[in-house]
Amino acid sequence: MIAGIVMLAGLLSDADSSARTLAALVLRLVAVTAAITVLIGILNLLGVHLGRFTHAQRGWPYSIVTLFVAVGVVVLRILDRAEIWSGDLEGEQLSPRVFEAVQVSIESALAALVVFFLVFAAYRLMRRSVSVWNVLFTAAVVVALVGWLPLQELDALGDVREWLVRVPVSAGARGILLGVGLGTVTVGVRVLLGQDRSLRD
Amino acid sequence: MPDDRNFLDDDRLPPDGEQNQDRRAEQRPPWEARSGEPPPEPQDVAPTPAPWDLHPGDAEPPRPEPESLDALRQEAGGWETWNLTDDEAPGTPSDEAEEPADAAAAEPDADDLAWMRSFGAAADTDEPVPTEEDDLAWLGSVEPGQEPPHGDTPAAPRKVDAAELPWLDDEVFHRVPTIEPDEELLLSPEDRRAETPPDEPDEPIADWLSEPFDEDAGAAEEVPAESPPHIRSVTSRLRPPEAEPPAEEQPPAWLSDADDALGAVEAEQPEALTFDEWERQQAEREREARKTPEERLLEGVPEWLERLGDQDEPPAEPPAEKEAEPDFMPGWFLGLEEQPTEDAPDWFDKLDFSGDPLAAPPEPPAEPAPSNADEEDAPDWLKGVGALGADELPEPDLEMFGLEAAPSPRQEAPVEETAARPEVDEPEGDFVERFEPIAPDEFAVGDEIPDWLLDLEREEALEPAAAPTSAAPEQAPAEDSLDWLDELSPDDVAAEELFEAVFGGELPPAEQPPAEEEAGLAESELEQLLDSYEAPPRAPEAPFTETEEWADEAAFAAALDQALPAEEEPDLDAFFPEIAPGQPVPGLERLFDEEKPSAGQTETAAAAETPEWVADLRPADLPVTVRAGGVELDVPQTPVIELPPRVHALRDKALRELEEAPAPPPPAEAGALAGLATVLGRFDTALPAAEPTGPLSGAVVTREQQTRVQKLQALMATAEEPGEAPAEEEALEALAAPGLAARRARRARRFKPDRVLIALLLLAALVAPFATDALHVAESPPPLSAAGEDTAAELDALAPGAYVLVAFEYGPTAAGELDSLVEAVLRDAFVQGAIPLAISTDIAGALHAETVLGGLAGDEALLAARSEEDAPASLQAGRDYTLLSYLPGDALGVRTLTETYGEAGAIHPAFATDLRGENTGLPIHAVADDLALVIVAGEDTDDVRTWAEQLRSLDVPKVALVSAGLEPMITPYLYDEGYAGYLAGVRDAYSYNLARNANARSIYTLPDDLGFDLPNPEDARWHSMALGAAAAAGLITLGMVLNLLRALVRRPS
Repeated sequence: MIAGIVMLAGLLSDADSSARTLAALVLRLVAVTAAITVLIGILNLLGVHLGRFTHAQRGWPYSIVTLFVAVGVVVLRILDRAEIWSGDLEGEQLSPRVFEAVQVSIESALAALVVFFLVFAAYRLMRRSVSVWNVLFTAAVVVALVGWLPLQELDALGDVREWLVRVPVSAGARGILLGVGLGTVTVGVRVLLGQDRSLRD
Repeated sequence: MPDDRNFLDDDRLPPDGEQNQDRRAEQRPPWEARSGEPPPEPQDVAPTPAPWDLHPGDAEPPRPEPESLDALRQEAGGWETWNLTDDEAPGTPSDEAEEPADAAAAEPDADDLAWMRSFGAAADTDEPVPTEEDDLAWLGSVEPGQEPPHGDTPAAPRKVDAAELPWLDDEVFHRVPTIEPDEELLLSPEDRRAETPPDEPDEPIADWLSEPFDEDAGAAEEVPAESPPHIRSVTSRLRPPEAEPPAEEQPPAWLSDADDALGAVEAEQPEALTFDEWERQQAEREREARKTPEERLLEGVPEWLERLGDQDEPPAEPPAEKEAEPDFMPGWFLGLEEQPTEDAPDWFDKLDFSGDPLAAPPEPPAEPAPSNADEEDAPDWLKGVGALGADELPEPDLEMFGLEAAPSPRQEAPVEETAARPEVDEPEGDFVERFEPIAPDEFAVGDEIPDWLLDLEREEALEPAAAPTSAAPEQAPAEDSLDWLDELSPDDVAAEELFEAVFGGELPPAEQPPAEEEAGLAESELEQLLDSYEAPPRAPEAPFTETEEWADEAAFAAALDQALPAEEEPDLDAFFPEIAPGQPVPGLERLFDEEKPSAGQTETAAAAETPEWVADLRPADLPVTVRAGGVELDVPQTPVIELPPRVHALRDKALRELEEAPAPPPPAEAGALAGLATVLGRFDTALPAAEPTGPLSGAVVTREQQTRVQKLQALMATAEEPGEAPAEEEALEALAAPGLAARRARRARRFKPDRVLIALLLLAALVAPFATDALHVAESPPPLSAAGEDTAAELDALAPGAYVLVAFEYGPTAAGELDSLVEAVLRDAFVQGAIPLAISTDIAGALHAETVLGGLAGDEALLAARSEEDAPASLQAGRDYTLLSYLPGDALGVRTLTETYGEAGAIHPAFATDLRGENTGLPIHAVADDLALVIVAGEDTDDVRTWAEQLRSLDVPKVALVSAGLEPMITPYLYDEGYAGYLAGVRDAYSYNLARNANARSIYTLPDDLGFDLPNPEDARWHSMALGAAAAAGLITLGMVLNLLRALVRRPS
């Protein structure tokens, strides 16, 4: 609550005021605390998996992989900072490559799978119950998809899609944003008054 | 030990005698000085279970230290008398003090009992002087068990115990003044010796039985010769029992056991006294203890007797005579004589013994006795006294009244015996047994006989000879005239006092069986008494009679013999059949409940003991002891009238049901009791049937709870051991919800071809455009939208070297869609000569920005379009672009971008360091002044919203690069202070590249040595997306249609 009051006072103050400076200090402390928290989390992760490996618990091979990858990324990052690479790798950063090759590829593949699940879910949407709202929802989805298609025969649907995006969807999005804004203010006041705890990280 | 209540209960507390051992060492009686059990004291029989009574030595207030032996005696209370007789010589001041007491008691009371004096005058000539043994005929009325006929042990008068009257409240009971060892209730040593069985007992007589008599004999020698024997007898009877030395030896074991048992019972029954009541009791006891023997004597002797003694008796006897003749006036008699005649109960007044053939001999009217006039003043019950003429029957001892009884000629023998008694060694044994009818001629008038006694004899002689008629009618009046006295026992006196104290009235006369007294009589005397005994007319006011069944003398005698053999010590163990020796009696209720005077009369006696009027007096505050399962619980009673209506109705219903005869249960169909009904009683209805279970300990867990616990344990085991848990979990699920588990099992095994078919169709639509051009059905990407055009306009406005802040607010999951869009915009920005500054509030975004910018850094088409040089150098970080550090604080961090810090030349903190922590050296002090464009690439609405809101006041154009799904959410922020434009998804990326980056990007071409012809991947990707969208739309539409048709088919007609 005290931090919230400090930050609120800093936001309402001028840029060169002490309140703003104090708010910036608190903000940096938060960043340092978050960094320390990340470090503690990493150490805890290593400890847990090391324990599972030493005790030969079930799934210990996965723990080995986790430990190896964690240590490897840290070591690779240290080597990148040391610029020890030579030859073709001279001046290269291997850690961003590893990150892109592993993290981005995996997450992109998982995101691509969503297409299949979404299509199948829409296909079975009215299998259990047929209602007006289900029909309306399914029709909107079909119109949005077909209207996106770069087909001249479907320009009419493109216009419909454009209308849908600009009018009803935009209206709904604005309403949601307004609700989010009001909710944020309410939660902020409650946190400042000590009536609630901030559950956000 | 009898006064020590803690000898069995509390070992921590020393006995009272030991507590005050030093102080009372000199006062301890002989039996306490030696080991063993001292004789019980009468006051110990009375229940005084209050805690302070249990420890009188502790509870009593401290007394001043006695200064002399006399003070010790005063403090000793009940012990002072024996101390006097044992330690002090006769004639001590304390003993002589009795003389003024006698004088004080000699004050005449003309109004009270004048008839008694006339009675003495009437008997002056004719009435025989009753012998000493006759006056003890009242002992025949002692109830069995109240006064065992044993020898020298001081007979403990039967006290009314609270346990005998369970209906009495303890508090009420203890308000009754504690009956101390009343001297009038005790027998004189002479009588006690007389009660000693003459026969040699089976067991050897203890030494203590013989020792005291030696002292008595020695003391008797100290009686002055000038005192006539009858006077000594009278005066000795007037002495309280304290004057008699207590038994020096231990009492019989049976008496000690009984006392121990009673003490234990009393210890178990705490007295409910308030402190004030207890304090009053203590004060009363203290006063009682401080009383001098004279005061005690004055209290015990009735006034009329004192007056008579003063008038007719010579001066008081020396104290030594008390030791020689320690007899005293029976307390029951004294108590009765204190009562005025007019206060006599009605039933007493209504009694007329004159008409009773046994009450008085038929007197010839022609020859009235000279004393008739005086006898008329006497009460009816004394009218027959002067008519005693039976030579062989014992006569009542009128000597004890101190009257000038006129001995009749036939009654000379008692006088002779009385005169000769001091010279004759009294035989040990019962006084009745040693009594032998003496012939009239054996009587010899001694010189010591006073004149009034001689006159009494003369009056007897002048009286018309009523005796010659028959012996029986003559002896009957003497017996019957004292029948009412025989019916009174010391217990009756005590009970009367108790009744008066409790109820404030007189105790209704209750007829007591004279069992105890007759047990001590000789066989011949007993038979004569029993033959001449007739049940007196029962008073109509008597509320209850306990001895109706005992009216028959034979039955009474049989019951008496059965209950108490005359020659043997009473076996009190018979009264405690369930109590082992040494075991405390659980309660007097049980003792008396199990006392069976005769077989078959228990119920009658019980019914007579609790008449209705007594039941009405029962207090309601006595707790009811409920015993169940070995646990006793005292539950306070609630009067019926105070019960709530519902409870009252329930009680009535229960009573009705209990009174109703239960229907006979059907006979058993099988088993050992097959065909038999009503064999097992009503236990099945009284007790609910219960399954045999073990003792419950700890929490009771139901089966359902056990199942839940097992399920939770299985889940926890699943979390730890995933390989083993599923089978167990499935088993538990099948146990808990069989239907659900079965459905899950079926669903797990079910093959869903539609899902596979949809997946295959969608996958084919996405892959097929990469394989063949036949599926490139979509047209080229459309031109930029208005938002895209606005975005391009903002990029066109960038000057070379202008700083463009690019926020990478997306992670690897959105990289496949947004990377192409970001690359298109950055490529255009590089072509415009702008310097992108990559920043992110997400660490992954910051790292990914390095990858995106790193990929553009070596793009030859870009480098060629950016520079007109033939061999342009690749883009370098820190020079052509900058990877700024991670911006913490989310919205607050973004907000910091709108602020300026330090002087004009100072670098804004968000731009001070790059991603590796090195100083950027960027000349950016204020974002609004030093930045030309802000590009926000985000995959989430919050990211886009945050940048738009926080940088709203910043006068820097902003554009958004979002995914296709976020396009509808970005439109609300398209306004003047918000985003100037946006690009959404792959389509806008294609459109932007086609429109703006046609020369800045190189097109991927397949290798020539591939061997087969493939479409251009860049075009194939576009058509793949279009075909995939079409396939998805078609599948969704197909599903909708099928489901609609299915619903229509399934719709009930």
